[in-house]
Amino acid sequence: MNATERDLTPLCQRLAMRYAAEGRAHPLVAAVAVAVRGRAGLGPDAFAAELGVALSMVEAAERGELPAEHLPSPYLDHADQRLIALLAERG
Amino acid sequence: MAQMASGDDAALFTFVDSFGDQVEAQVRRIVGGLFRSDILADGDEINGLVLNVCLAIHDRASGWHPGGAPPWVWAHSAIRQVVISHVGHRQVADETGIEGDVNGDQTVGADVTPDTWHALTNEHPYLQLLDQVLLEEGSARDRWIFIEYLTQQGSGDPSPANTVGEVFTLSPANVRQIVRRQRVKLKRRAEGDPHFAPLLELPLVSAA
Repeated sequence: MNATERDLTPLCQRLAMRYAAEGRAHPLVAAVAVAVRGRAGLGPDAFAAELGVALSMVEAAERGELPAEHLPSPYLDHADQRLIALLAERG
Repeated sequence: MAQMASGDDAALFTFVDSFGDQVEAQVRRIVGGLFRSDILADGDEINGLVLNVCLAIHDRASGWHPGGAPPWVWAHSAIRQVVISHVGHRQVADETGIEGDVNGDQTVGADVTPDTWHALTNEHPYLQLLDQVLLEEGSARDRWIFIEYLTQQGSGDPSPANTVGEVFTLSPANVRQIVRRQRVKLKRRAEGDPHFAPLLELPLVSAA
């Protein structure tokens, strides 16, 4: 299966469950933020620069401190449609 | 793997994108060995298994050493366990004849960890005898190769020597040779020491 074809939403959901158990406020948003950076293959610093947002914003998103509506819009430009749909449904 | 071991969960997704196909090939081999063509034909099921396996590798990443076997080979036992826990065991008679004695209600088809093996030997007298010989007459590595081989065979793996060879980075011929030597040791001990004589009731030993 081509990497871009692989549906990663089940993995995001599994990760979100872990984050929820850790008490993160917005676990699914955190999981999607982590997934988007992972698919970009970048560390937090480089990814923040790539998105043109502050590093603190990337870190806050991955800690689950941001609700979906506060996720910087460049995230959505980098996320595939299935992850966006997952956020829209359940974020 | 180093990134995953450092606790960066994003690396899990990088890993899936980079090595998902290799993991999928491994998953398909294991599912195929269990004769679950229905699972093989279901792309969503396979994708789910691949992702679960990647998560299992992620959780064990700190134990991997750069320069060693690729992660999907190194973590073969864990991968197999993930697959079997999802798919279930193949139900076949074990040609070694040990299944009835070993399995009981247990599922030896899942790869055996030291803890579960220890628990099994406590519950099953034949295994306790067998393990006593393995501990006394051979290297720790050969003992685990033998145990892993029995496990694979018991779970219906059509090529246990290949699977075990991948795990221990040995050729299948080497694995077969080690298994043969262990069986001969078991038989010799069983024939020469009445304490171990019950082992001769196992075709695995008596036919060596």
